[in-house]
Parts: sequence; structure tokens; C-alpha cells
Amino acid sequence: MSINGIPFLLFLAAWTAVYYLTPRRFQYLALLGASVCFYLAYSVRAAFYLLFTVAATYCAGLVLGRLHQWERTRLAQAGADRPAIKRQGKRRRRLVLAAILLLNFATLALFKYWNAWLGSLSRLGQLLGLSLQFRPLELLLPLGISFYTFQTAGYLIDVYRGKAEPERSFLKYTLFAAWFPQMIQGPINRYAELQPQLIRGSAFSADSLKYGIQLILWGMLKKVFIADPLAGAVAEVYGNFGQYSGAVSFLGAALYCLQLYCDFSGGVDVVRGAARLFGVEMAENFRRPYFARSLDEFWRRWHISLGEWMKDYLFYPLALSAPLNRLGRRLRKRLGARAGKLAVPCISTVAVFLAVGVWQGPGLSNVAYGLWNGGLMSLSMICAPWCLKIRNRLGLQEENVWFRAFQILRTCLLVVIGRYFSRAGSLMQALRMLKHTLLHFGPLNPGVFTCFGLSGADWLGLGLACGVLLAVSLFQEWGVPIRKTLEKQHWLVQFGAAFGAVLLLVVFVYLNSDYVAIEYVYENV
Amino acid sequence: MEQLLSILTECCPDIDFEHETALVDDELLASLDIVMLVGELNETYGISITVDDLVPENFNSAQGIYALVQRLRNG
Repeated sequence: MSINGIPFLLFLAAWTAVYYLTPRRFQYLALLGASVCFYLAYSVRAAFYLLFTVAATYCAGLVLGRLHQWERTRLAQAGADRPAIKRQGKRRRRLVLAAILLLNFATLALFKYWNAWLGSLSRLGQLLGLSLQFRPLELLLPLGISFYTFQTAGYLIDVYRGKAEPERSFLKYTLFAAWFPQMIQGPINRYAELQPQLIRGSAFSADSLKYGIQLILWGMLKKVFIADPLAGAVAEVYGNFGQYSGAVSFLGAALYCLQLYCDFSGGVDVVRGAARLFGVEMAENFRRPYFARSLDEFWRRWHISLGEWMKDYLFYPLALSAPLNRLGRRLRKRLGARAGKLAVPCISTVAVFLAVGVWQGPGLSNVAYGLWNGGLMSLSMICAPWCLKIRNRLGLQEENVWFRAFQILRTCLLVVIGRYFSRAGSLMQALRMLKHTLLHFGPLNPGVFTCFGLSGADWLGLGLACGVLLAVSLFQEWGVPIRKTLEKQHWLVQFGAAFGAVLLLVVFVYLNSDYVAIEYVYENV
Repeated sequence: MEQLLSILTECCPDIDFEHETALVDDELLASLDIVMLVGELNETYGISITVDDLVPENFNSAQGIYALVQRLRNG
């Protein structure tokens, strides 16, 4: 069920009605019903895989809770050896956590990477002159497996750390793990933020309904009028870059950045809007990333929920782990204070971005994408004092408009280069395309735009849509609350804006027999 | 406190640690800064800051960091 299609919209309308007609204390059951129906409509087989993860993580959460309880009871006893009890409790919890995380992520790896790994092994065999033939497993990638695996892992780590109480109701926990809007595009929600909203229910609110519909429309417009038209042009450039100049290759990578942003953030807007219809506020996932002044800032504005997840559950534990700290101390003694200080954050950053790269897909190009980002961020940490000196010598102030523009353009350039790797079919293709860009840059012939399967009218429409997106993003950057500003206008203006958006979608999508729905880039990752 | 302020300023020279009270909430201190800072604090004061200590309250201001260091030093 595509989230841009009429069936999904009807599904949302029907379950919204059911939700608000249900007594408040049972509303969570309506959400659970909607989630189960949504997932079964996708695939009954995949629903069993989901149920397996839900059941396993639910039980593990209860066990971790019991272990906390055991520790508290023992500590309360007179004459208890507190350090020994704490050590023992932690060791047991760690064992349970490690086992369940291993099971969870091994399941994810099996579905997502197994066949790709077999293919790589066969190719390696060919290179070595061995005939290795593997039969790929016929696996259906369960919808949202990455999102629910990360979300349930976050829940378990929170319970392990004692930051969250385990959910005792299986139905309520199932709703948290299988909440249908997050299955398509994420975001990766936190248990402490999402679960109370899902469980407590909400009274009917016209505001929630209006805001939800606005978000859905905005997301769809981004997807349909920017991301989808660009998809063909981007595929053409990445597939046949050799036929064009290097400048076109670069343009293709830049257009892919725009396509991906509108596709992913548009999808998340639809998802967050759908959740909002039920009074549920899901985590923000994008904050105008292409206005970032550094790569570090870019990653705090792009796929925020994944970045936060990686920071709390991978980066900090890794950076503060005993082995890395020992390494930092050793380097401090051997190479000086600065090397020791930088080693730990640099190693942890590279490790985190490797994980982000692998999360995107199995190929070596994704590993390279992770290394590109992690390596550059580490390099910027190392070079920070020299950059500061140069900036001071040149008298460049942080607030200087030209300096800010330079920083934004520099960040965009680095992001575009990174996208050579994340979009290319293989590492070799990415490197060839990059080489082609550098060695055959050449002029950007205007005639090339007609080769992308887009007419002049299509480019005009695309330009207009991008203009609107840029204007809205600029206002948001300047702190103008778009929705509140719209709400202050006469009702006719508000109605006109919503009606215009619906009309555009009806004319260009639902009544347009030529329109071909394109799958979301991160659908089913 | 003076020693702590000099460590903080050395780590992040752009931040006014004497007056800022929402270092984490306002995203003045990024995760990379926090990790570098933790390494420095651990080394200087012989303490061990763990993941559980990484909550905004402990890192939102110089006073918060100072209180955390004192708490860990006193066991």
C-alpha cells in the first residue's frame, strides 16, 4: 500500500474515524488494529517475521526488568555487598542484552545482506579462479525491518540502562514496535517519547487533524513534484555518465541530493502527518540540511532520528569504552596530549559512519560513503585549530554573510561528492564517475537537459516547485513559523492553500493516466 | 572551577562557558565536543565519566560539569 495512493488515504480516513469513535482507554487497540491491518496488507509472511522480533524483544525487556528488580531487592537487604551485587547484576543484564541484540541484528543482516554477501563471495571466487556457486535465499525483506530493529534495540538498551521500565502488556508493546506510520520511512522513535502518546489516547482535535493533513499534503507535493521528476534524470546520469561531460555527472549527483531530500523528507512528512491525525507527534527527521555550515552540522540536520540513535547507542558507548580510553591514554603518552585527545572521537566517528554506510546497503560503495563522511569529520576535528588561525588571520567573522555562504556551499560540495558513492551501483562505478567528473569536466551544454526525459514544461514545473521549497525553507531558517503564519490568515486564504495543494495532486497525479508512482528511495530498507 | 573553565575553553574556544546555561539544549556542545571534553576531564581529574552520566543536565553549563566532576571525585 503506497503512502501516496488513494487506498492509503482511505485507510487513514477510516482508521481515524474508528480511533475517535473508540472510548479513550481502548484507543490504543484501534491503533494496534490499524497497524496489524496495514502490515498484513503488505505481507502475511513478513508479519510473522515482525511478530518474531516483537515477541523476542518483549521477552528480553521483561527479563532485563526482572534483573533490575533482583538487583534492587538484593541491595535493600541488610549487610549486602553492594559493589559485588551491582557487578553481578550488570554482568547478567549485559549478557541478556548482548544475546538479544545479536539475534535482532543477525536477523536484519540475514534479510538485508545475506544474498549480497553470497554474490560478493562468488565474485571473489571467480577472481581467485574458484567456482563458488551459492543459491541465494528467497527472502522477502520485511517492510520497515531496519526501523523496527533499531527502535526495539533502543528500547532494550534504555531498559538495560534503567532509563525505561519494561512494557508489561504484550499488546501495548506490539503497538510500539509495529506502529504502522513508522514502517515505511521511519523515523526511529524513542520509547520514552512515543509510547506514552500511543497509549494515553487523545480527544478529537481539529488542530491535530488540520496539521496532519497539511503535513501529508506538503510531503506528497515534495515527492510528486520534485523527487519523482528528478528520479529519471538522476538514473540516466548515473547509468550513462560516460556519454555526458563531467559537469553533467556532477549535476546528476547534485540533483540526486535534491531528489533524495525531497523523497525522504517528503515521505517522513506524510508519515508524521498520518501519526498526527491520531494526535501522535513523531520525532522530527530533517531540519533543512542543505543550510548546514559543516558536515557535522549536516548530519545533525539529516535523518536526525538515526543520527540521535547512533549517537546515544553507538557513538557514546564506543567513545567512552574502556579499550578506547586506554588507547587514548597510551597515545597521549606517546604522541602528546592533542593526539590522545583526538584519537577517541576520531575512531568513534569513523566507526559510526561506517555503521551508517552499512545501514544503507551491503555494497562496498556504502562502506566508502561511510568512510568519506567519517574521515572528513575526523579531518575537520584534526584541522580545527589551523582553520581557526587562518580564519582569524583573514578577519572572517562567524556572522559574515559571504563566509556563511562559503561554508554552506563547501558543505554542499562535500555532500554531493559523498552521493557519488551512496547512489552508484558499485564502488567501481562511483570511482569511475568521480574520475570522469574530474578529468572530463567540460562545459554544461544546455541541450543536455532534453536528454533526461523531461520536457521544457517539466523543467519549468520542477523549477517552480524548487522555488517554493527554497522560499519555505528560507523562512523556516529565519525562524518564521510557516504554519502559524498561515493560521493567522483569513480562512479563505487557508482554504485556498489546502485546496490548491489537493487540486495539484488530483490533476497531476490521481487523474493523470501518464503518472507513474515511483517507490520511495528508503522504502523497504 | 578556574581550572575547569580553562579546560572547557581550550576544548571549545568559541563558547562562552561562563555565561551559557544551555550548552547541550542549544546545540552549542556537539557530541564530538562532549567526547573530547570527557577525555580531558577523565585524564585531569582521574575520574571515569560513563554513558549514564551523559545527560543534558550534566553538560548544559560549566556549573553542571563542575558538579558532575565533584560528584565523581567524591565517589
